[in-house]
Amino acid sequence: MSSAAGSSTPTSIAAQKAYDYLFKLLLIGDSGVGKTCLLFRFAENSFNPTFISTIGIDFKIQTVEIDGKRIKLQVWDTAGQERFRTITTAYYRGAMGILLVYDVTSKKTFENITNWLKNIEEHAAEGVEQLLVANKCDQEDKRVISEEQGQLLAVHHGIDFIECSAMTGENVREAFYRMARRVKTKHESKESAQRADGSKSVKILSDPGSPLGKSLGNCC
Amino acid sequence: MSSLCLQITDHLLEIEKSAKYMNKLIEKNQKELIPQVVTLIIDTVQKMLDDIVVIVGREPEISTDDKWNLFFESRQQEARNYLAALVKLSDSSSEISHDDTQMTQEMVQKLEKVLRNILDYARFKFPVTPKCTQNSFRKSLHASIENLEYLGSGEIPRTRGLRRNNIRRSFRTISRKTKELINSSSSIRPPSMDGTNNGSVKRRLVTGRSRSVVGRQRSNQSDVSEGLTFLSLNSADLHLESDRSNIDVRYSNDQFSAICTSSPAGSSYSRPLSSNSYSDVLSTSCSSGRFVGGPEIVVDGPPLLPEKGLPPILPPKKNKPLGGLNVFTPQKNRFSMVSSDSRDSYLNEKTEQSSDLSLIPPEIPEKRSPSKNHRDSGYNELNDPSSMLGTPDQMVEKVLSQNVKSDFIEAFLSSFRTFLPLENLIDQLLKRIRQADTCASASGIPVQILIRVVDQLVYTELNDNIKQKLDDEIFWMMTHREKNFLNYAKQLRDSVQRIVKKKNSAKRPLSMGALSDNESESLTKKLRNDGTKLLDYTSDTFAQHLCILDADFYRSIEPSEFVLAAMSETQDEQKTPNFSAAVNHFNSVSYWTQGLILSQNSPGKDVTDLRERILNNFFKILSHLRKNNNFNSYFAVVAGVSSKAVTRLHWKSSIHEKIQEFQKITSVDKNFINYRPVLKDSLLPCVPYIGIVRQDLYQVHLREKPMKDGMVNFDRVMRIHKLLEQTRRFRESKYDFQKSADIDRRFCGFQSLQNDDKLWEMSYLIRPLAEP
Repeated sequence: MSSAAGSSTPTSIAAQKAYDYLFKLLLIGDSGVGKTCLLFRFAENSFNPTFISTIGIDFKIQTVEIDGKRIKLQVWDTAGQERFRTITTAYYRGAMGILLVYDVTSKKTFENITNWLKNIEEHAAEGVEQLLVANKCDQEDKRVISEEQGQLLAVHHGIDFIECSAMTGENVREAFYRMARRVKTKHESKESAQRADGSKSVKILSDPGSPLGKSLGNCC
Repeated sequence: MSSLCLQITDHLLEIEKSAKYMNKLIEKNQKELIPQVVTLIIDTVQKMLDDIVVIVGREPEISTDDKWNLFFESRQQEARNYLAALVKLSDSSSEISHDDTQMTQEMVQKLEKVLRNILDYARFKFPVTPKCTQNSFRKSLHASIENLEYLGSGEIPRTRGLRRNNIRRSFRTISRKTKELINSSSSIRPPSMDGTNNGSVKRRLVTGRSRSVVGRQRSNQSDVSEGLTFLSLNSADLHLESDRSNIDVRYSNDQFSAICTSSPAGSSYSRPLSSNSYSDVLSTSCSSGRFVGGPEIVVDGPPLLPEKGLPPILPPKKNKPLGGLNVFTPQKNRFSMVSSDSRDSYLNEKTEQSSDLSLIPPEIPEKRSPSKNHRDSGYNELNDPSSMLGTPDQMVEKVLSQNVKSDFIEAFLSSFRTFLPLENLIDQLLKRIRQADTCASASGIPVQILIRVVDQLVYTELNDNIKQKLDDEIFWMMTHREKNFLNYAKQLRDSVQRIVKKKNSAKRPLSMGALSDNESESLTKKLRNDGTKLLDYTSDTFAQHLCILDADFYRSIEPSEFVLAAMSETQDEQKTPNFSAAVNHFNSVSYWTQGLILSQNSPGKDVTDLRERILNNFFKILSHLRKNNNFNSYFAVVAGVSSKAVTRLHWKSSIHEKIQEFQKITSVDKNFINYRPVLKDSLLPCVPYIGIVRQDLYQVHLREKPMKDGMVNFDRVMRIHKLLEQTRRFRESKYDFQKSADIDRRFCGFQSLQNDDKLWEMSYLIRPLAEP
């Protein structure tokens, strides 16, 4: 629990760690919607091309700068394990922002968003930031889900919405930045609340399911 | 029916070889040996005809076919006539005149024609059906016994100059042992080494083959292998005793084939082997080199070790099924083979320059055993990317070239699906097989590769179209004998049959549809009972049961299935049936774990205690799973106990700590950074978590394009290959435990509510949502 001190003084971490915040984001959605492709596109300038057989491919870190703060984004990708349903729920733990991805050329992936939302409700921490991401928007000829339909679903569930294409790169950066900004805002407001009531932070950190406790435990 | 074709094919091969041998002898003017060769041919033909009678008698569908019977009888008569003429010729005098040799040759040719006629007709009339293959192995064993008894009974036709008694004694003993083997139903008796006690066996005069077959018990693979190992050992003894002999035992993985050949010393027609070549035969054929040379050397040491066996002539076959037809066919340990060795060595010796007579297919490099630590070596050897660049077609070309590295072949076989459709590859190979120049030493490579490809098929890939193509090819190879593809044809057919068998025995995957309220209600009740039942078992027993299940599921997944699973974007369950079954099992165990704890949801302190006891029991099970390196179930159970519906309940802090402790290794952080090194260092038996295999392959698949500028991305090929090699290591996992039928019955495949909503409902019943 040494991280408790760190959380209340983010600037001291920044001096040593070269970033101000570490956020964990999660990509979910049906298989084949292009989650990993989105991640590749987003992190393509930073991932290490060497293949380390003991670790597999680790390319999931990208540092961004928002409003003068350096934010290290650790993006979790469940791609390949979607069918191990009880394992994928393990990824929810500690996630501060979730990007729900569907494929505009596949009706099924869009319909399943409702199930994924329910899944988030059950497994993710309360108040986790969510963003509905419509991928493959470049494939206009194959599109079966219109932008309006996506927008409508997002509004219905009170979450944000963006259309992008991992293929062309359109809006990919925006999607992650938008998510990072929202998490940052929430995180900062939480922090100030904690500072106001210092005793409470200990309690939050003792809860293993809490996004805060998990993320801070890992950043040190 | 297939066994019929196979046996006849083998006989034909023998006759053909003998005929060639005879021609050579005639060329060389070594006429004194001809009668012996003729005897050999006569013997083979008789056995062949008898075999057909035996098999026909046993296959109801054949014995009732009048047209076939008529055809067969007339051909049989024809063959017998030629046979009689031959016998007469070889009997008439020891000095054979020129006319005699010509007539003999003619007779042999005619015989061959008749017999081939029978084979072709049989092949057409009774296409191989999976039903027929089911008991073929046992049938071959029975046929062996009868053949052996027949030989031992004094019916050996005119084998001049042979030490009949020795041979008979050997065969009788082998026959007895084989029978014992078949009769022992569940466990084989420990081999007794008194096999040479010839007095104990009564001489049987078996002339007809109408005798009912003894021992209908199923024999499982280990029985059979153990028994046959013994059988070969035993005949080794016999051989040592009976002066000159050799035994040839070949193993490849689970598969083995025992070829017992004995070579009587005084046999005048077997061109005497020099003492050097003789000991060569011995030392190479006795795979573990336990005995070399003469009779004074005692067999010691353990039974032949499969790993040390002769490398298979042909590409290694993994998971050879019990029913493999060429495993142990009667003609192989029959007397007629006695001299075939010397004949073959003669043939090879004489025809080294003219390879058209060489019947031994060129070897392709044996696949390296995946258990060795070579995970990186392949990549280094093939690290020169410039030499490995090529279009998909050029890759096929490379694989088929003669000097290709075995690593490259393996890498190609692992990954070709990612750049070349299966059917396309098969078409290309078929084309090459037809074009093959029989004189070239590499003529067998395309068909060898084809056999490997077929061996590694996921059964769902074998659609009607491909099946038809392969069947046509087998028939073509059998009928175009000048290509010397008979052996390949048999192997290919074995492989195809194995896949067909899998396809037919496959269960439809259970679809987990939504349960009705009633169903889920009764399932909840069942889970509630299961919870207390679980406490009846020691965690050790339970973990062991899971180990067996997981190892079985893992082994059932063809490595190529992992590639298919990763490549198919939609994760089509039909395409990867074994993988899907394993995933379903994983999820079942995981949900079952949750369900067991959460279904104890009636209020009261007792129930709280019960939940805790069940949870503690799972902790113990987890420790045992970890100890036994069963990471698949470990992940499943950890996911169950650490699910939010469970952890949100009120538990002692020690329980939470334990859960976190168990979770450490399954942490998804940094792409399973805790788990990967542990897995790497784990010794077999070990079952990895299969989700990571798919994830790793999927990421290679997504990250690397299959093609670069029209060339196959070789880097990607090697990565896929390396990942698959890692998975192969664990396929050899065998736990030395007993599966508990009791657990199987009681928990019914870990049926549970695979529905998060229901589980949460149960969780809320225990601890209401509003509760602080």
